[in-house]
Amino acid sequence: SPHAELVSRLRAAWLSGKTRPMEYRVAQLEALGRFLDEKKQDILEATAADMRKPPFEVEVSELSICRSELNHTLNNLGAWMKDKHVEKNWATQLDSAFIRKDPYGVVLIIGPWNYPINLLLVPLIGAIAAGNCVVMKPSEITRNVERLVAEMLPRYLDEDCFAVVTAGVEETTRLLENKFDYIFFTGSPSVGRIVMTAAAKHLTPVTLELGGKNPCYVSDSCNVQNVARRVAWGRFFNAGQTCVAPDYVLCSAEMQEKLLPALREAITEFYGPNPRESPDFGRIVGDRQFQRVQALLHSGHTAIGGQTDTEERYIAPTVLVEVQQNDPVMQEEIFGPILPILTVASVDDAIAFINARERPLVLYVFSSRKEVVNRVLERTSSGGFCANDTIMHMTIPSLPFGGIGQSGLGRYHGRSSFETFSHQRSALLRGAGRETLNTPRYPPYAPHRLPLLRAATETKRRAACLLL
Amino acid sequence: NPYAELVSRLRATWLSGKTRPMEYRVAQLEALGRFLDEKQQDILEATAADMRKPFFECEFSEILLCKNELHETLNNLSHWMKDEHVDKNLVTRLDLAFIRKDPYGVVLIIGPWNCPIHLLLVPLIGAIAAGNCVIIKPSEITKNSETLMAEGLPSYLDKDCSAVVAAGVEETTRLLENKFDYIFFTGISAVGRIVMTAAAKQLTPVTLELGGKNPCYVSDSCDVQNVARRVAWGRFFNAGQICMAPNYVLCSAEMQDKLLPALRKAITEFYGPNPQESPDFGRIVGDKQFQRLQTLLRSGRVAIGGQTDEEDRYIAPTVLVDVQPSDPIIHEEVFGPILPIVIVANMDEAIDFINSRERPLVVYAFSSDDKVVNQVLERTSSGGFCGNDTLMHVTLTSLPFGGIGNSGLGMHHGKFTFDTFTHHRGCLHRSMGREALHALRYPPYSQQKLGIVRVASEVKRKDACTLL
Repeated sequence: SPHAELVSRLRAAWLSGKTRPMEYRVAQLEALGRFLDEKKQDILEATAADMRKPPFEVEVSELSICRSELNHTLNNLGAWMKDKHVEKNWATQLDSAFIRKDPYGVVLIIGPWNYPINLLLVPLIGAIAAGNCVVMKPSEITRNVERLVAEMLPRYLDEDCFAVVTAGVEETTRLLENKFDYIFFTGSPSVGRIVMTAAAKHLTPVTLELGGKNPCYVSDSCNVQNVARRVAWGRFFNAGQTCVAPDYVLCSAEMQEKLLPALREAITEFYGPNPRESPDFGRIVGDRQFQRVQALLHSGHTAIGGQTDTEERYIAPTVLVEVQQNDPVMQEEIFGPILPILTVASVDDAIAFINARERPLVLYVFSSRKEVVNRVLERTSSGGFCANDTIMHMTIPSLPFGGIGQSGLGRYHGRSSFETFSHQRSALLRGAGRETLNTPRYPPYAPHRLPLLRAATETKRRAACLLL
Repeated sequence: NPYAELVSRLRATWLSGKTRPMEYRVAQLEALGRFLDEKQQDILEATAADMRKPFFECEFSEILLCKNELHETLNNLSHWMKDEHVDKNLVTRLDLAFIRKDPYGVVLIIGPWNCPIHLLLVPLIGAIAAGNCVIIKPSEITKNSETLMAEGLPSYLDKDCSAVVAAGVEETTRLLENKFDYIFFTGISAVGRIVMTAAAKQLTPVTLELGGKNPCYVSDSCDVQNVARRVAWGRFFNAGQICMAPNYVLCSAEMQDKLLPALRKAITEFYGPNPQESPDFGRIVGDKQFQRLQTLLRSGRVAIGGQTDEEDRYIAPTVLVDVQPSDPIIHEEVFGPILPIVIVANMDEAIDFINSRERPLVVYAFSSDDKVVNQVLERTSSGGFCGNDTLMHVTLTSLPFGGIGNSGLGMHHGKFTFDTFTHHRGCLHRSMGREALHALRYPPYSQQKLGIVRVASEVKRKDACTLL
């Protein structure tokens, strides 16, 4: 195994206890912060070279988010690391009972190509904060960022405990044969299955941040222009290559009539009359992905956009109507700047439509009416939920971010990242003496001792009226 | 697929929302409480028939501890179910940001044979509390308990939302081909791998409560008689068939010389001169398990006990000495009333011994010196930890119970069970208006807008001195 020596070296470093002290972890995290600051220009250039990411988008979705997570973690690490003392029963009243936050050990983080900095570094922040050693595998599809991370990041982090591995599909399969103590994967559901199956051989816990078709229900009571802007922003950011982008719209036929001109206006406001000339609109990452997304255009009828340019890997901000459930665009996660609209008669029909499909990473609802928002929230199941906007739920570190069902398992961001990479170890420290307290539990068993044992360890049911 | 219809029926019930209201869940949990009360005698008799579990042990470990979990859950359910509001940034200051506790859907709980009631019902309590529909598969090895569950439990619980499936190895494999939304498995590591591999096909999250070769370090400074009693109690409870039992002792040669007579005395105190005649000592659950244990007796030299009776499936409380680290009894989880002692020179050697092996479910350390206990805690990694006692950490519903590495993944007990079976759904509810706040992030992008967006959404690093 080509990576066996690396994993073994990191495991030895972890066993040495090097990553345990808070000062060590803070120093590594601060070094990560310096990487983001000092290499900012390189990051902007690499992401532009890889997929023509507009610098503004890189700043807000890659750099700023990383900085927020970093600062949030540094602000709270002391509190998160502390032993958490817990309630005790009679028998343990004089003992020390607490939860110790232990690192897992050597963790593997596999990053995707769409937000190659954010989706590698934000989990990394949690892994370092929790005291682990880390192997990072950036995506081989975004070559410039991969090179940047592989060459530059190790200069900032302690090479004893952190390593970047560049690997294609073959080598990643070999990498996964090693035993890791935690695996954090962001990518497609099909590869997620492969990762979890590999993890199962070693009983390695995993977090899988996967994808899905995120439904976006637009009710009849809404401010159409605002909705159009917020939906267009979420759909066309990063040329649609966002796991939490609204994937398709569900609305009534009447709403569709109003939404189309509003979307047209929003797109023009954002990108001008010819989005191809706008510096603020990205491109598809590679030829293969371009072909895939282009093929999806053969669904329904193009109401807005639809132009493409193979050489530039450009697909115009596009809205499709008259889309049927079995059209190509409804068979897979779009991951491109195409927004299909499907009409439904009512909110209940929208709910039924959503519940008949795989559970998405996020569910969007647009309505001025609280009851509508709450109805959809209560009667559906999804990774996350956002009403009257798109993507913004991801910018709050204190909201756990993760999927359910096909869209993933586990969660992170903020404290959830720290907890993801921590083993919550229960600890009970009893006295060496006070043996008389223990005698009721020893054989020879005497039925009359049971009530005593019960009293010492029980949790009583509180009277219902006290709960009000 | 013999279970497809059952799973499908339960999924339809879950989608109907029947399990969502708190009142419904409380009613199911109270019914479970009535099962424990009304069927108490049947439970005592079934476990006695299956493995001659002493009534006292059954009352304490199967019924009492279950009831504690039930009461803890009923006392706190409404609080656990509440939306958790979270800190927001400037941009979302006026919005609602909270974590909604959603059920997963249809969950599968597979129980083991050693504590067939407790280890099935405690996860069940959490699964019901979290609003799921549940399929329960009790162990086919403890036939009387299996029958009791399969015939008794459904009369208490709502058949629309829960079902007990009696299945052997073959049928369990077929059962695992279905899509579940969560799988909770208690058993051995080898089967844990099979379960996780099956779960990976459907991207189903899992909790695996597996075994552990739990080390028990006894330092030179301790009250030998107390240690002997506490260790003997933990090792011989349920005739050694507990996942948290101390699997082997590590101590100096001098300590071993003191420990042996103390253990002999404790065993006699507990079970009399001939433990086979004591009503307080259990038996091995089956012939296959009995043979396996009889083979393990050939390690080292018998210092105490060693007698067996195949017809009775009786193995005497046994202590082995002169055991080599390479002996099978140190490699496997003993899961029987045999306690090997391995000599180590000092605490450091004990820690190295522990760290060079698979991480156990629990590490035990006995010492009158707090520093020794804390050193072992800090320099090892395990599911849980208990100083100066055995087993007692699981009597606290406030402490998470779970393994790490080969001993498992995930945790439960108390609120942790509720959290295990709950999807923490990050929710953001914004206003339909206040569009001016949103406009800053829209294209066309500008440096000026970027500055404002960063100030409004980025988390700042707090001054180090304000953290003190």
